[in-house]
Amino acid sequence: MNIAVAIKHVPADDDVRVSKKTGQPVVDLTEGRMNPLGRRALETGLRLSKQDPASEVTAVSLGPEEAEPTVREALAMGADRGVLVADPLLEESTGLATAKALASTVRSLGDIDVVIAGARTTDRFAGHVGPAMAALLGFSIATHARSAGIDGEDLLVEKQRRDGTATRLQVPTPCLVSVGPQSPDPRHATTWGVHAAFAQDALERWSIADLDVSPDELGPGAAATTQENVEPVAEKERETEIFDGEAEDTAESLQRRLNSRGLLR
Amino acid sequence: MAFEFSFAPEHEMFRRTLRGFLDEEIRPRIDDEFYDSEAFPWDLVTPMAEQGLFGVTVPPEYGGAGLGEIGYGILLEELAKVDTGLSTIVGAHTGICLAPIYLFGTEEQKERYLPPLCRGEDIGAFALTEPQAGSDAANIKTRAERDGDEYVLDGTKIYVSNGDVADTLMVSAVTDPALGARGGVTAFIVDSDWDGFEVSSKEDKMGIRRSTTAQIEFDGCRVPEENVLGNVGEGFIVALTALDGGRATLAAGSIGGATEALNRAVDYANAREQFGDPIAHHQDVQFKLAEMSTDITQARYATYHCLEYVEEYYEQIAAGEDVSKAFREKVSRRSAQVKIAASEMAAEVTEKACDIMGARGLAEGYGVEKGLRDSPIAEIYEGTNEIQRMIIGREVAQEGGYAW
Ligand SMILES: Cc1cc2nc3c(=O)[nH]c(=O)nc-3n(C[C@H](O)[C@H](O)[C@H](O)COP(=O)(O)OP(=O)(O)OC[C@H]3O[C@@H](n4cnc5c(N)ncnc54)[C@H](O)[C@@H]3O)c2cc1C
Repeated sequence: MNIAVAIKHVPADDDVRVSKKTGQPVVDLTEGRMNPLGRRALETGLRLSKQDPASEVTAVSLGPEEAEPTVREALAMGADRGVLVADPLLEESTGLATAKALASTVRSLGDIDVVIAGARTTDRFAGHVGPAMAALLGFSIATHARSAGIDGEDLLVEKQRRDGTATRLQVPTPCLVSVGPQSPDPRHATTWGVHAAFAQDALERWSIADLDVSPDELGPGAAATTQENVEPVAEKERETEIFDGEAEDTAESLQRRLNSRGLLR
Repeated sequence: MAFEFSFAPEHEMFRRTLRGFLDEEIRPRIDDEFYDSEAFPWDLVTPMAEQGLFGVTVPPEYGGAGLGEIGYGILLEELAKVDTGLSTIVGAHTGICLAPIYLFGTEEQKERYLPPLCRGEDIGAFALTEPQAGSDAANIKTRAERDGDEYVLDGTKIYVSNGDVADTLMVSAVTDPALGARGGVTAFIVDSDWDGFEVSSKEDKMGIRRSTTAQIEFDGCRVPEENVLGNVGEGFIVALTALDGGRATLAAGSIGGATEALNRAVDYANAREQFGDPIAHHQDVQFKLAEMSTDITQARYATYHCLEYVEEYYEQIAAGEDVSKAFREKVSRRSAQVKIAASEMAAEVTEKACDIMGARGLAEGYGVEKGLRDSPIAEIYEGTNEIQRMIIGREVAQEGGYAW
């Protein structure tokens, strides 16, 4: 089975800073990291590949050059191939444009049976890149997966709902699976993996010239939706207080504190 | 740039992934209490070995990760933040057992011993110190008498880190008593399951509790000739070369310990309120924190700079090149200097952290008490700081202050 995993390089800081001038989020990738759900997507892909010794896992990231450490880390974790499609236009692409570029990358890789992606990224929080990619590729799709396994020509995908019930889906390949936070905890790259990730030619560097999309379809101008503005939602301030000591004393302190605030009657 | 000082992307990634591993898998299983057990911590060592932390310096063709001395420094720095006992386990294994086998071993020795050591399936140790030979290591008495194509080892080694669990040991013994350290000491690779090898006792130490320290008796232990490491009579050079690198990476461990103490003090100073204010708002506390952080930064630069020299030094030896005397001395001196600087800095920083934390600095369970017990060891092992000063001082007195 040939597996492609789409992983975005996102800012290390989850707190989105909003530009006063443009009202748009400021993306600072000098301190970046692998998107957490992308990391889980890779773990899911690596586990899937264990079930079929002939499979190959290719990690793909689109973005600016700064995304390189994310592709290297994917290699360090065990991806067989790592492809960085780097172009400033891709950095500014959102939603549909990104999906087009990713779908084109998958087509260029050739012969991909399964695409795995995180259900969303921490920076854009859009959640539609995976589904859009599946639509563009004509792949079947399963979203918010908890686990995936090979079953003949199909994948068996399990998802867990908020209420705790699990759904099992039989998904014919080629398909796209987006993984949610319940998917298996990602592994840590070993020292051997780190070394291998920096071997000469370990990383494949592509440009948009390698894709079958025209530059007009990419970049901020190609977005299907526009982001009007981003503003903080005022949240009630929370307080934490920790009571130290013996259980009985802490219980008493807690009761006194709740009483004094009129929260116990 | 003429003077570049930054980590390679490979090393940056190693530090990041290592931190992730240690914070998620190891730190939660270590508390700050006194580690009462005398048992070697296999529960922590096994996942560390699977992660590839037991062979970082050695190139992949022998099963290692090829991350070199800088990678090894990063490893000990990060490990020591979590537990100095663990960094000692890895240090005794890698720096003074694995390294000399890689640097001086024959192709057969390297192929046989390095892969299982790198995987951490075999644990390594280094046995030089004896009851009458501590600082005066040249005075070792363990005898290796030739008998046909074997050597018969008799004698006692003490303070052998990992000694009770080691599979493979680098042992220094006297092959020619008349020559002593000048041509009469030979290094041997010894398997602990051979007859005549016995662990006779274990130390009960104040600090680095997770690192076990054993006494070993050799009683007619037969070592085949092919297990001589390096040339017969050159065992002292083998040991000293290993210690040259070892000291610089010990310094990296001290930096990790000091950083941990600083972090504990910062957290505490921000959380602890007295007279209605976090104590971190007081200038005296801030000055202490500033000094701690300044001292750590200085030691860190000097140590990684020295590790670059060690890296080059070891590359030359591994490639079978002749290392110039001047370069060898420079590396020895640098590593002795950073060992002194970093170990004493760590002890001072830990003491300042203790001051900042008041009673909780001395109480079990807050981390700094453990740091106070753990930090002094780096001033003693791999040659006491006094001995390092003695060697540096003798050279400086003769040659004057030296340039780069
Ligand atoms: C936890 C631990 C782990 C160790 N692990 C190992 C190991 O794995 N393998 C191994 O071979 N050894 C190991 N050692 C031994 C260590 O290297 C020695 O303890 C060290 O070299 C000092 O020797 P000593 O303890 O016999 O002290 P001594 O040599 O007796 O020294 C006592 C004091 O006298 C000072 N002194 C001695 N001579 C002079 C001099 N000429 N001038 C000025 N001052 C002097 C010393 O600096 C020291 O302060 C370990 C020790 C410890 C504590």
